[in-house]
Amino acid sequence: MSIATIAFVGFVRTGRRRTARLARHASRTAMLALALASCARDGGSGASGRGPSNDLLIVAYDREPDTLNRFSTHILEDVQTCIIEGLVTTDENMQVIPLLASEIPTPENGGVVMRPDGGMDVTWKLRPGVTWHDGVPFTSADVQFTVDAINSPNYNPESTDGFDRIGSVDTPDSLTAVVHYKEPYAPYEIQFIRGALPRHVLQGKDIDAAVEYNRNPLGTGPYKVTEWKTGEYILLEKVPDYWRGPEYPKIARVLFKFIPNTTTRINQLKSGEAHLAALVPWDKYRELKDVPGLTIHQMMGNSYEHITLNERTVPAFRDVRVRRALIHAIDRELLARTVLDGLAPVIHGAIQPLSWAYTDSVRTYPYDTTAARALLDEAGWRDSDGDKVRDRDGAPLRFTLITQAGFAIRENIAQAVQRQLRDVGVDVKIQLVDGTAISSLWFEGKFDAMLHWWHMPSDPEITLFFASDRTPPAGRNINYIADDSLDRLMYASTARWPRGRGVSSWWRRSSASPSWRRRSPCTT
Amino acid sequence: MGEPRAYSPGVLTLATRRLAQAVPLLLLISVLVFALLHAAPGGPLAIYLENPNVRPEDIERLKRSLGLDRPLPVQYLSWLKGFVVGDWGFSFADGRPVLLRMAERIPATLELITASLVIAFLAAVPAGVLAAARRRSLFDRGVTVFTLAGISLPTFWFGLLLQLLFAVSLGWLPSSGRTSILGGDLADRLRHLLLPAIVLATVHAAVWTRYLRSSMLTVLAQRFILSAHGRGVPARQVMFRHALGNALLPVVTIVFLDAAIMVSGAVVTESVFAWPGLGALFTEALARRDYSVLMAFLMVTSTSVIVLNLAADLSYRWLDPRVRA
Repeated sequence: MSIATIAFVGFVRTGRRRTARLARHASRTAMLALALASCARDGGSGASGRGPSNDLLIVAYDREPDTLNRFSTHILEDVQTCIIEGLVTTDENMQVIPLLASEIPTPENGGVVMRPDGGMDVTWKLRPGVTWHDGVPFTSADVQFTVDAINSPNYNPESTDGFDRIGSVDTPDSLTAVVHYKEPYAPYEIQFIRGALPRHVLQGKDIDAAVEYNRNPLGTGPYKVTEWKTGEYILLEKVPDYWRGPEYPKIARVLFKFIPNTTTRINQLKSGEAHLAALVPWDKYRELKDVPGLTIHQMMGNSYEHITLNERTVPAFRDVRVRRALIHAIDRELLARTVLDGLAPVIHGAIQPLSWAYTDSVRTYPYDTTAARALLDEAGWRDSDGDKVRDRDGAPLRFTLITQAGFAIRENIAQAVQRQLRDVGVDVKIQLVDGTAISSLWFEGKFDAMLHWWHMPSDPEITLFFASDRTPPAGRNINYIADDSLDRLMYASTARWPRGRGVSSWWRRSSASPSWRRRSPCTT
Repeated sequence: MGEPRAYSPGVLTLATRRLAQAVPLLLLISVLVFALLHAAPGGPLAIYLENPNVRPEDIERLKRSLGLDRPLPVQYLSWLKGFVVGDWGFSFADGRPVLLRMAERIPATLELITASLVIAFLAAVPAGVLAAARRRSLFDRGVTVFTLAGISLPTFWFGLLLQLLFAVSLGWLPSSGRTSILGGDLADRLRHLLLPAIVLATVHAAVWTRYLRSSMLTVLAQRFILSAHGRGVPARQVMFRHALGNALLPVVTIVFLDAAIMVSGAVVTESVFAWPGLGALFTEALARRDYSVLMAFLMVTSTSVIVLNLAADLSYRWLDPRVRA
């Protein structure tokens, strides 16, 4: 058995989410923040005429954030994390580490206690000496207010996930917040990764309509908003008394320019008007790698490109032999080497090497057209009418592959896949769809196969993507795969508590078992 | 007994009548646009689906909070009622009033369009007049080549080409944006404005040049021009005072219509040059399916087309005494 997903490559970009901790590591921004970063060339530039310095870093961004309230959006967290800090954050290896908390609560340190009534208490100890940018101390009352606000019917955050499992929060002292969960909640560690709302600013206010806060939020981070020029840029300036010490942040000002056009962003890099560029497509690598003065930093991300095979719309995909044949028929190593310029490795599952749960002890499916043809023959798909397309019971082995329009790399890969599958008698039609429409199509399951990416959560809870009861709208199992034994294995991992250590060891044991390898989501 | 004079309504009457006719037209446009926007796949909440922490119940809650759970006719009537009384609703993307979002982008677009109109006019008039005056000369043929190129060049490609030349290679001008950090003086603003204004102006300058050349050739062949020459009026004066005044009449209509088209044409130019105007706002709103902003943008541009058409008609009355009569 295998998951109905053809995984291509692990992403070498960090995306826009939690992996980019620009604020916390301002001194290392160029290494961490963005996918294809660069240093401006020396000398002439039409606009700034200056290279990067500790005074000013200019980042070319693809869009403007809607809001800087971290609970109202997940978009462009790079800007938000410069200003607002969580109780925890994740490091480069997706390990959860304390930030505004003095330690991560665990059963071992007494921070996590199971109650006799089936609930769970998590005690967060806050770091002393942290103040909001206006000088007011950051306390447990802010944590309590945040939970109350998010669970309040008067506020509409992007997600209430996890917060709705909290019954109440006690604040025995200003640096201790005891969170009472109504039931065990495994990802409790990242509950407050987006930080907290300042009680003294937002209490009694309509947070959705608090434009002043949402565009210039009060935080505890190293930067504050100096100017947000709509449609043009956001300028951040270092706060004078950041709690980590006067040596942080290393860079005095960070400017995020909004430049939706990719080529214009690249031209900004070349002309020295920008020092870093976000979301530079891979196909621009060749154009940029030899530009004098530009340095391209590569880093592993927590994402992967793959083709999702929709078992609901294409009955042939329900046959594991067909799915295996398809992946045997695609030369992923060749695609990674050529279309992707060798920038990304071929991976064999959804959980990325960055994750603590990653394992390479999984079954792989190398490029082997002979095996592909044999599997399709075995499944009863043969070219009975000589049109070079396999068929069975009068129906051709044919499907439509959708992917995002204007995403050159995906368009190229889709064409290569189409060509390679044609060699084994599978007919693929390519359909390009705009970004917003494609989200709607996958959510409604209205596609045969889709070339896209998933950005994995820092907590590798894969039930969301593969469990039979997590098909949309309940989750993102858009393969519509339904396998009882796989469900049991995946749910066993989420029920284990606490996550990280316990589950990690379980995972590794399970991964070593033949059944797990056979059904692992890390195979196809 | 003299001939009966044709009825010629006054300016006010004409304007009132045309604006009254525009109301049902705008209503029809609003229905069509609303239906088309909602028929397109995706919606304002599609972007949240990228976040695995956003659950179906979150989507339903957000739908309710934005009023997207109501039937479409109810949503339309609610929008129409608000629009008529000046309450254009709130942006689905950032929650701010649509009027505010539009208002903060209008100056940049007006600045760009005005600069483009000036550049296009300053380029088209001498080129069109001289090309007509020196018909079939090398200059005329050169103008023809350049105008054909100007009409044919894709705005997107031309903009990027100018960026590469003037910003990347020569380093003379900024590649994009409206100002440098923290504002900038007038010179800084003009340097930012130059490339997008040239790109937006090019196609219009080319079209106007062709129109003006053709119009000038027609006028130059008329008897009153020969008469002027016969009276010994200097050639330059004949060309610019007698011929150009008449030749400009048909071009004026094109200029007004193009000014309206420029608002939509600015969508591409603003996107390429990260110019923070209405066009860029439209692009952002379209990607987010920000219905309230899209409706406002499309109604404003539709209204501007109607108003500028009316302005073209009225300007005819002012420029041409025959129409007034």
